[in-house]
Amino acid sequence: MFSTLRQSMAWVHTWFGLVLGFLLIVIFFFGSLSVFDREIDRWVLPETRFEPQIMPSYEGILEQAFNHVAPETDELAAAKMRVEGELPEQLQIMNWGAYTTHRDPTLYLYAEYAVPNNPNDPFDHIHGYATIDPRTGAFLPKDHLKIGSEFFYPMHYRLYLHWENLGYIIVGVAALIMLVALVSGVIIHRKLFREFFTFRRHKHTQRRVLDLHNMTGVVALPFHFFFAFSGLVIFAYIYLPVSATVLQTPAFAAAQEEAKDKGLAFAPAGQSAAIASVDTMVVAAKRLWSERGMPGDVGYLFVNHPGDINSYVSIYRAGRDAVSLVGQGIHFNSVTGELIYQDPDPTAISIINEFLTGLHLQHFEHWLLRWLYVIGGLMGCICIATGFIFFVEKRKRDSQQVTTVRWVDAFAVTSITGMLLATMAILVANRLLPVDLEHKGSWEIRAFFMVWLLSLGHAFWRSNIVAQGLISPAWREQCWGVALLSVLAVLLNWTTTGDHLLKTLFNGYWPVASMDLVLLTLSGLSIKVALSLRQREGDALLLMEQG
Amino acid sequence: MNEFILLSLTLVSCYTGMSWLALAMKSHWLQLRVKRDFTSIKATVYRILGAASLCGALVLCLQVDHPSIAFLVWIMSMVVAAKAVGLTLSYRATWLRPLAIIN
Repeated sequence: MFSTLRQSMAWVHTWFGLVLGFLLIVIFFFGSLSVFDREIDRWVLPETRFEPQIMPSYEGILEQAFNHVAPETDELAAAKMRVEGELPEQLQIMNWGAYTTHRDPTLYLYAEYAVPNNPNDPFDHIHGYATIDPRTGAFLPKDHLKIGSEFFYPMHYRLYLHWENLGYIIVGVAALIMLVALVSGVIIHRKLFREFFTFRRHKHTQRRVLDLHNMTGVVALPFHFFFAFSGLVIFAYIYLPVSATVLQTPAFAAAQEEAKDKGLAFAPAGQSAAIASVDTMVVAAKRLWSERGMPGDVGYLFVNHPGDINSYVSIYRAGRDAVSLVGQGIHFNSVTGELIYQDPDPTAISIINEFLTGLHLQHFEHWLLRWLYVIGGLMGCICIATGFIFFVEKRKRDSQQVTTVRWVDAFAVTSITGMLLATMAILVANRLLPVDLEHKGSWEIRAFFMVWLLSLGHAFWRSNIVAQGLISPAWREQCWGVALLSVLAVLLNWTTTGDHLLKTLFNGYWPVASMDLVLLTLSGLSIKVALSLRQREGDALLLMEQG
Repeated sequence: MNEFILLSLTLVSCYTGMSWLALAMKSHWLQLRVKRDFTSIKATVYRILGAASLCGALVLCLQVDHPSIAFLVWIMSMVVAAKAVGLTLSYRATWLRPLAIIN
């Protein structure tokens, strides 16, 4: 089919990159936003605009909060369909946990509840989730969406698709194709090192966008490679679920054996017992970390089989000073408060795994590195976007490819400016919708997808001109839309919360100030691009009329 | 504050290093429009300077952070610096003239 390796790789790069590129740009963009997901949460939930908190007292706050966590209603309804007979009114709690990082003002809690009488799964269970104010223990309303961590972040790793693991699998395929595109891109690039810094912005559009595509792709190659690869590593258990399928029995036996070796009870004894002071255990854990030369705060607190005589408490150190997320777990007997087991130093394989996972999930405290990640992610978006534009530019005067070019251009508009429009729309909706609106978060998500769908329709409607070799006005019009909505979001933040930019800057409240500054910068850039596009549209029309 | 200075120096060092690597290429040397010839010896010296500057940036990163984080900061600083040098060469190439220190 192809006479050289370079030709075949060019085909792979073009077509796989094009088809999966529409997904990859979404993954890259929302991944970039997710770097500051907690800060976005604070912008959208004004009641959480206070300083990050450490793990609160168990006896003072957590114990009561855990007891008020309830199973998710949709999971409970699904569980009722899986069991024989009726589910008991109160499900047995299997475990509960609390997780925090140095960027969280609020605290995330979860619990697992045993689902009895499932003939197909003796270990069936469902979950309960809650977010609390760790200073008071007050629960945040469930229908108030944390847009950063509960919408933008899931858009990054599973496209917000809930059905089975479809979203994870699609993202995994896209990440794999990303790796293929990187390798094939390197093979087809004739002057990888000679044009490392080359961007000939005065040349014609096709040359210009190809230079930008090559430069962003090559200079950010380590970033793109490691993020695509580490993303696959993180969800390897979903893509290759051997321990839950073909190796289920030995995996279960190994887990039991491991728990036995560590002295951590695998199952509850069925005999109730009161829990000792967890706060004392936390103090002991912090002392042990200090003795090991790694003083730190609690990142993750986990109670297994609470209320049972076999219960134990696991306390993990927050990984704010290293790439790994949490670590140095210390396990205590819940009933006696005695130390059971300390996690040993990680093995070489664990260190590699923790490094790959941690570099992607980035729970460390390093603001410069976070911003560098955002720039890296946006460079990925530029690389993909210029790939689309190059595809269109190369083919738009070819009468044989009119339909393909129109489709690609319309999808490119939707996945670039349309995605920005939808992102601005959800922020504007968040500030416009009444605080006490029932299912407020769902309405915000609807606003996001509705605007994105409208941008797709608009892009198709305006794309007929592309077939004549001209620039679709949809690009310019949607840029104006982004500029307008981003300024509107900043103004609405001011009017609905009183936290205007000067106030947040003066008070040094950077999560909100930075959001407003980014929105205003985006607005300025969108206006600049819109004006530039208007000029180019005019030039292209003039050229066409002159023949 | 000390961290801020060291990390700022890291970024400067990466940008300078990438600029010197760019000046080791004839096409970019010509973009600077300096009245000096481009020679293979100069190219080698600029490559060595560039590599040394990037290594210096790694040393600076290691002064601030845990080695695992320092490595990431170094890689990402180089990525962003390379992009910045590419854009400087495209928009304001003459700004890099002060770095053409070898006659």
